This record gives sequence, structure tokens and C-alpha cells, in this order.
Amino acid sequence: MTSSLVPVFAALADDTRWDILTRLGSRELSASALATELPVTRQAIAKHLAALTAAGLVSANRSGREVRYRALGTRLTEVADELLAVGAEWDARLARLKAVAEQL
Amino acid sequence: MSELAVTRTLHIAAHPSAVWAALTQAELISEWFGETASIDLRVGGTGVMGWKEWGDFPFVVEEIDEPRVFAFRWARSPGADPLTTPSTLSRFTLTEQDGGTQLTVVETGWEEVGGDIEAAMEGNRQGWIQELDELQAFLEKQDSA
Repeated sequence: MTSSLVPVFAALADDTRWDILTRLGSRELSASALATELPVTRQAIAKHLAALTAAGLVSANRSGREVRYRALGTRLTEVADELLAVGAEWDARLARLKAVAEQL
Repeated sequence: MSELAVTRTLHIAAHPSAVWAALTQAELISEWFGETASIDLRVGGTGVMGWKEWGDFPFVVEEIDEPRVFAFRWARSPGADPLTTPSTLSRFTLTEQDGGTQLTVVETGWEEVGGDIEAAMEGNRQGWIQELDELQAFLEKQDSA
């Protein structure tokens, strides 16, 4: 477990943040635009965006007077890779466990 | 309830009592998990999975329902206390099937965080996390976008 991924998992551990992230995965949106799409306040959106930004999951880009956010795939790929590695460890362990149990 | 989980299921051509033994007896655990293993098999009992290369990872037994459910929480760092430092929960369920055993393992707890990060995130851990396949679906959508 890479310790740097702990905040990423924590940031993902919230349904509103996940909702925000999936929306930002398809297009860039401002905090105000997100607030009109989701049943949460503008302040709550700002807080979630700060958490996602801190975890490296989204980046902010200034576009004229507006700040728009988009999802960063790299960080999510790291998360997926980490979990795939954990899964691969289990595959190897369970294959050995099966051999042990079947010889008893 | 949905949360970030690594899940594996497999069929083992052995009775659940044999699979149970392989899961819970130190001398058998060391044949498939760590290179060395110790276990105090009772809820709250502690044990260690050891590797020459990576060190000794302590765990605490959290659930025993012989021969159906076995769960332990193990530390992510060698020598660390699984109850006070980041850890994951590995939960095994055994079901008798066609004279053998269907074994499922689910490892959860990836979102567990340390104190200062938790403060930074303002708690709010009531929410759920998507499972890995949903995450992958999202990533694939991103790749094709």
C-alpha cells in the first residue's frame, strides 16, 4: 500500500465527491455549474473540490473569470493499479491456499 | 452498503473443515500467506504474517464462525498495530459446494486514513465508495473520451 494513495482513497470515500468526480471526468465544470447539477450547496461543492484537489484527483484551470475543474486520470489509474496489484496478490495466495487445503 | 473492496472467489476441492484449517492454523498459513505465521485463534487474538524481505505484519482476529467465517485486520506497515494504524480487513466466507468449498475473500479498508488527513478531509466518511469495477468503468470511459 503506497502511503501517498491513502488520501486518494479517503477522497473517494464519499458519494458526493464521487459524483463530482464522475461529472468532471466527462467535462470541465465550475463550482457554480456543479452546484446547479447536484443537490448540495455551493459551499459544500467548494469543500469537496478542495479535498479532491488536495488528493490530486482534480485540477483547477482558470478560464476567463471562471475557475473550471477537471478530473485527472493519472491519479485514478494509480488507485486502480494499486487495487489490481492487491487482487493479483490474492490470486497467488489463494492458488497456494487451494493446493494446501486439497492436500489435507 | 458499497465500499472499495478487493474480492476474490474460488472453488476448492476440499471440505470446508480442511479449508478452515488452512486459513487458521499457523503451520498451514505459512504455506500460502506469509513465510512465517503465528496466530492466537480467538476474537481479539493477535498474530503475525512474516516475510524475510518485507518484515512482520501484525494482525488481529476479528471474526470466527467455524467453519463459515474468518476475518482478520492486518497492518499495512511492518511492526505496526493494526488497531491504531492504517490496516485492512480480510474476511473469508466458506460455503460447502459440490462436496468442496466455495471460498470468498473480501479485503476492505483502503479508505481508512490517519489522523491529520482525516482532519483535512473533515470526516464525512459515512458515504460509500464505488467498487473497483465501477472505478475501472469510469477509467475506461475517460480513456475513450
